[in-house]
Amino acid sequence: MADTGKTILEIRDLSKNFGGIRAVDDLTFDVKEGEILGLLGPNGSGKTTLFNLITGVYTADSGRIKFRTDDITNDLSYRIALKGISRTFQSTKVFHTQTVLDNIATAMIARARTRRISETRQKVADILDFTHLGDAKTAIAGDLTHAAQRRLMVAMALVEDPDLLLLDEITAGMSGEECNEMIDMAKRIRDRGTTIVLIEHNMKVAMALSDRIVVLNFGRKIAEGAPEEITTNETVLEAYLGREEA
Amino acid sequence: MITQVILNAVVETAIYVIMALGLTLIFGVMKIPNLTHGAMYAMGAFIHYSLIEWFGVPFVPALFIAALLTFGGGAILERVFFRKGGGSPVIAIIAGIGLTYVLVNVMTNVWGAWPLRIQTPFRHMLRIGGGAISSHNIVIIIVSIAITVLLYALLKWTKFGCAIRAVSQDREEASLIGVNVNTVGLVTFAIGTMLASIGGMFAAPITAATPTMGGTAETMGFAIIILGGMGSLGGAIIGACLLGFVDVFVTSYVSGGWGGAVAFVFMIVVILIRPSGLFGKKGRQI
Amino acid sequence: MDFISNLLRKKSTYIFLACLIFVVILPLHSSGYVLRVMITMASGIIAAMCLNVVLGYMGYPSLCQNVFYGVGAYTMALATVKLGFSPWTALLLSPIVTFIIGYLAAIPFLKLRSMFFAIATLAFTGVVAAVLINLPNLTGSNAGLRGIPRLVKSDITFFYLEIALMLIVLILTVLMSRSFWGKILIAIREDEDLAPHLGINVTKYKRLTFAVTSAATGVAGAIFFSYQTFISSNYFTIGSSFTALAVAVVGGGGTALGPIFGGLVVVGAPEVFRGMSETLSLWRPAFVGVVLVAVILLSPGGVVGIFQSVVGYFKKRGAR
Repeated sequence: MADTGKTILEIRDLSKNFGGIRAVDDLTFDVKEGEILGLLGPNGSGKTTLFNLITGVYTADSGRIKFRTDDITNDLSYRIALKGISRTFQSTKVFHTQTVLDNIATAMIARARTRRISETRQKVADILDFTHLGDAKTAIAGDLTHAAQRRLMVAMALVEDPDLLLLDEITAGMSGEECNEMIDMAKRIRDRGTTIVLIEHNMKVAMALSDRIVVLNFGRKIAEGAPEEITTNETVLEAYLGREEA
Repeated sequence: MITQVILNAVVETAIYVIMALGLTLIFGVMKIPNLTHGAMYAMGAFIHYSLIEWFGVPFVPALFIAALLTFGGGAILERVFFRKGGGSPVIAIIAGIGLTYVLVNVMTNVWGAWPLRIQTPFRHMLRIGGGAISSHNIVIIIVSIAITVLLYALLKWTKFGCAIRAVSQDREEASLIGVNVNTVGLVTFAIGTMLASIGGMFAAPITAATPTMGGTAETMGFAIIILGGMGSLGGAIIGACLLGFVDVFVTSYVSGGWGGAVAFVFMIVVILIRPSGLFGKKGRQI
Repeated sequence: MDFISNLLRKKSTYIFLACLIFVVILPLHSSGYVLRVMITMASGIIAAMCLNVVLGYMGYPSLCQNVFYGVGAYTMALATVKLGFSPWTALLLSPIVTFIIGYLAAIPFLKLRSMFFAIATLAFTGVVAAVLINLPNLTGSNAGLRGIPRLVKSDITFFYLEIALMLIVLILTVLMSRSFWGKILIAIREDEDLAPHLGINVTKYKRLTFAVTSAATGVAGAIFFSYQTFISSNYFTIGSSFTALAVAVVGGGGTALGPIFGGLVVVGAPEVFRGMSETLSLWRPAFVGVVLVAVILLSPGGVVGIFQSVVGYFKKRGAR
């Protein structure tokens, strides 16, 4: 069960350059087990790059990433996933030509061989129920509504009970009501014992969900703390509004 | 001896430049690899031959007429088969392979599989240093340079050239500002095809024309533009120089027949280290 | 027992058995020439089936399939002619050698995507073609190597041998497509960037798939050239992989039976034309090209795709 207080993810002095641009610059912070950590910042501040570094899509130029006791700094993506870190993406990455069921099955394949069929069936039923996709079992993913597709993406990331879930602007393109549904789902995910790091542009969602917030700008951490502190933080406001620092 | 090898390399490079420019132009605008390039290379030689032998047209005017005909042919090919614009390159590859089957078969049935000798009127031999170069080869070099210059002029100074550059950088944006993307694609493909066939027309008197003469040339063409960066004209020229010289030097000094293979290996290595080539996306694109 | 009774209930089982019986009886009543065509077609189908796994299921357009056909074939030729092995020993060696070469080729090439992969494999074919031509002491170059011993004596038995191999490959393909492996290949084809995040070791499966299909292709090549007893570099030019591609695409990529139909259309149909008129046979490659272009532009699902639409259409009408 979640034990708030213990660190589940450690980022230490993490840096990543892209041809002269420092996308992530000497980043250091912790993610506590069982919390929902909001990752905010203006466009291009390095949030998705950070997710890519954590999940092994990019290799870090310097610094360390530690998942519990494991140094996963330049580990291969699939190994990181197997260790218990899942993610969703800014664009809706699902297998659009496959059915919902096939999508979920594919998300379970890596661990399916050592599992009994009955157990697999149960997990599938559970996750469909959890993400409100039970009716869409046999639908082709590409035919689903936008929000349903994004829920499918969450289902695929969640089905193997990851310890850490990285959500990258999961509410993008959703209506107010759909956002509320997603807020509720995120809380239920946390209650199930999965730690969440959340990139969000929708302030309402970020504030409603985050226990703590880390703000990035130009790849650097410019603020860290409770949501109320962040909204009144001068540096944060300037970063978003682009006002010149006095 | 080395002068001769260098001279040969320059000629080979010249032919490859003409071919590669066409190939990279097509890729830059339409984002698909043109797998009919080799077939049209050969077709150019055969049409040219026919104009001379069947219709009694002299060598040089026949060059121009054949070029025009292949321009038209390329336009038809684009309109009928490649007008998917933004479609999957794999579909274009397979369609190109199918069309090559057809074109090569047509050439084999109409002109025969035996190598056809084509006489060039440029038969003087010029002595340079320790080597000799025929006036035909000098013409090739001149034509190659001329085409390069014309192409640069077209792209830099004409409105249509601007349109080509716009489409190659961002197809959607270009259409939003009013460029007729379909026409640009059509004409570019036609130009590219015409350049391929010009290459074949000039190569034929040297190597004799066969329906399959385009096979290795086309793969070489791809090696060149991948090396130089697909879509980059400057890259195509530099790639042609590099691989043309590698090919001829290996053929002359190591052993005949390995030139192409070495060039291919070179390309494979480059594609693995730096897929965008020497002057690809990261560099300037004309 | 349950499985068998289920099987007996399906219509497709009987169709399959009928085809099987037809295929077994046919060669006994065929002339030498027809038999030769059938053997060639069967061999091409096997190669196309292997390519189909890489292209249709995994989504990698390989243009070097013939290289592995050739590696298997030359292993058979060299092991028997130069090293004196028996053809069956050589047949055992072929997939091993081809697997190794296939795996080694997979390491660099599978780092590339889509058209870069296609062009790189095309260049690879060119390199291998050059190697085959330029090492006459080893490979016999265009003059070739003669006297490859036959695995079995008669043509008919060769045909049965190929049908057996085809069935094995077919069954393996079907089993694969329904298993976790098939799901992984489809995941790679549909979104290779997503798959690793689901815990799938994409690199391992890509390489294994490529190497295993290469090995199977090598066996097909070994068998065919043992039948022909003669091999030369002329069979392995830079464009020689296109036939396998045509067969795989025309039949319908990503379906187990596709290559069979593809083979019937690409190899079989032109031969039927040849029967009708000699001049038509001159246009055989053009026919293949036309069909290929028509299929890829109009009905990318190939013959199987057309079949499925037709069946779907009739089902809809029936439902009214």
